[in-house]
Amino acid sequence: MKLKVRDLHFDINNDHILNGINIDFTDQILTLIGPSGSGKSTLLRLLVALEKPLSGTIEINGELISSTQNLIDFRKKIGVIFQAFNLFPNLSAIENIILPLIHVHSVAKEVAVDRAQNLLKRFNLSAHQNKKPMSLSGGQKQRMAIMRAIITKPEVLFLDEPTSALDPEMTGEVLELIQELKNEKIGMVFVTHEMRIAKKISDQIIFLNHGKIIMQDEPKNIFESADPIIYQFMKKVSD
Amino acid sequence: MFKMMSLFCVLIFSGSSWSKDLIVGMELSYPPFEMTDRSGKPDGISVDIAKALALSLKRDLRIENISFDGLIPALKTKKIDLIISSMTSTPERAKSVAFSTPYLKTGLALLLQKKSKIQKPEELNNSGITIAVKKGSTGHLFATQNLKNANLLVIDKESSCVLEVTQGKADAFIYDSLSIYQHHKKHTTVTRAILESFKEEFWAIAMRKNDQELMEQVNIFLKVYKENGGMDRLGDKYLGDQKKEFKKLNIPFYF
Amino acid sequence: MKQLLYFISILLFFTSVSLWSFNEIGYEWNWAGVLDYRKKFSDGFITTIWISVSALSLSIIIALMNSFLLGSRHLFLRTLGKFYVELVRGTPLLVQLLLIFYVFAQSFGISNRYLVGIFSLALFSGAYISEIFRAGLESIPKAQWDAARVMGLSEKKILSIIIIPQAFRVILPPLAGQFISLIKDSSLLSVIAISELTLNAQEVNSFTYSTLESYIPLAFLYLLLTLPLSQIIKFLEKKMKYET
Repeated sequence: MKLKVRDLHFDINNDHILNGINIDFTDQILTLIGPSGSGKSTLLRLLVALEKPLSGTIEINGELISSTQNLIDFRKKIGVIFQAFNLFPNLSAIENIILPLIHVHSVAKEVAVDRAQNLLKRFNLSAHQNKKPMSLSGGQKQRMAIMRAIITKPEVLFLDEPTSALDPEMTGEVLELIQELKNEKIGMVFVTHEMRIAKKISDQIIFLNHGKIIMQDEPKNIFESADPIIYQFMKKVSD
Repeated sequence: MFKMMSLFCVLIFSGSSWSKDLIVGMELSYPPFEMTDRSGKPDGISVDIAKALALSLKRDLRIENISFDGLIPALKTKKIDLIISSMTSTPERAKSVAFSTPYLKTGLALLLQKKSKIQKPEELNNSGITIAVKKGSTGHLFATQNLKNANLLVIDKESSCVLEVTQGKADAFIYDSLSIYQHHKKHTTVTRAILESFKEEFWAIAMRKNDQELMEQVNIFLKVYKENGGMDRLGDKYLGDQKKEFKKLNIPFYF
Repeated sequence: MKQLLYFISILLFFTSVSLWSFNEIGYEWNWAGVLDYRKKFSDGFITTIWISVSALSLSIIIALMNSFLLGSRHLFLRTLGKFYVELVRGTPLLVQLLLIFYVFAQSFGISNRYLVGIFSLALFSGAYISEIFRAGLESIPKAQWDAARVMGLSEKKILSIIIIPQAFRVILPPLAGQFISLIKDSSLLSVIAISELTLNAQEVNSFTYSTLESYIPLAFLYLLLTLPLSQIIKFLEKKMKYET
């Protein structure tokens, strides 16, 4: 994945949420960390064009994102995973998963169902495929949401704190799945507060604070940084 | 719907009345017979008759304003003792209530759309003819029984009946001579009137059938009141000019 | 089953209280007179059914169009939608019927009172239903839109596959209430001489002077229409049950 962000600004009611973000990244997994309110989730929403920047540009794999003309084409090539899963409650698990295949990628229904069932089998979720989201556990919901995001074979997967709404034991099953995806060579932009996994899977980590990038570097260098803000943060989360 | 519900509630939740007052029911929307004055107090010919009657019976008078539809049910359920509300004595009504001797003679007349081809009342009973009637009036009853071929519009409000004729939606409106005369005068450019009544009617006071004693008292009162010129004085007070004009036009409208 | 049993016992209790009350006021029943006019009841009943069904369908179309106005990007269209809702909700249906029939329809040369009656009723109900629709759409969390948008779904598909099916469940109960109101409000069409159920019952009353004998069957006939409607909606609601 290639990500290029230039001088990105974003306001909500004149509150500066992002203050001149610049990123250059060419590798598989980029992780965004930082205290809550630092702007990391907002940055992710801007990257997938759910928000419009005040100014600045975003390029993903050489394509400019801000123009709305190629928005649908761009979104065909990505997958997004939300903190609150955002499954569609009126559809069953498998209907959720095949929805983008059928309605965006124009895949025939039988083919889509076939692909979804293979995927579910691989991740041991077949038994739950006909359940409505309300009867799934939190971990199952998030894994279903990940199935829905990867079934279209996206170039880049965006994950917005995928485990922060889960109990610890369910966090484990979701993180395992994310590690498996690393082996699939899918590019990822990963917002998280799980430092252990951030350290383990990231190629690079960006530390954000008050809408500004404090540091972008390899995990090892971030975790051993002498910067007082990062040091304080690391100390707090390791307690 | 609401009217119906409130009537229903009144009937269910109040017992029979014990008061010695003479309770007279009328619909106060038919000037100059039943109406309200500027302060909202009942006024008109029927009100004056009721006052004189109460005086002669030495009872206090209470007037209840009830929609015409609800008058007979109110009488039957003892909410009121008498109806004095320009009510025509008809055989149908006489099945459920008793009528006094008539106190006024009038008749049905026609308000016609100027363009309508109708020239005589006999031409009303045709399939191409649309006739407006006020719900529950003797015109309504007459049309239901005698004008079965015509298209009937049954309407709650007298003013809407007139509107149907002036807008050309109906050929004719059947109602009493006095009202038709007044409506025609208001809309001379778009309406015609046939005032010679094609059906005579008598207005009378209605009572419950088993109120024999009251019936006698009322009939005696009417006789004495008429002989003493009470009715004529009321006619002069409320209908002065019309009375003269009606006499000139040979329209039946006498006390 | 148990509920049905309770329902019947409540009904029996209500009936006996009513019968006792009628007995207490010494009411003389006259069912025979009313029975002579049973054709009036059946005619009126049929008119009420087809008028209600037509007005109901038309009101849904009007409501859909108005929810587009209310949700429009143009301030003018939004204002127009709002104006319609406030005007209709803030004035009595009786006045609307009289004005539309005797003034507006007259000036446009439309004289079919059934057509005008159905249209007025639908216009009245449509204002309420469009508000119900709008509230239903707004009740769906923004996150559902986000998830659907980032998939690359078009707005049309997001609405038809995800938002509307979810909103439908939310709007069912208030919609049922509105439909029942519409059926009962159709009785007001009597003011423009449409011979529906209520007017016909009133006519029977004015011929027979048997108010309660005319109006009690009227109440039952309305229940006959509204009860199945609320049952159907309840069934739909149950069928669509899921948690968000």
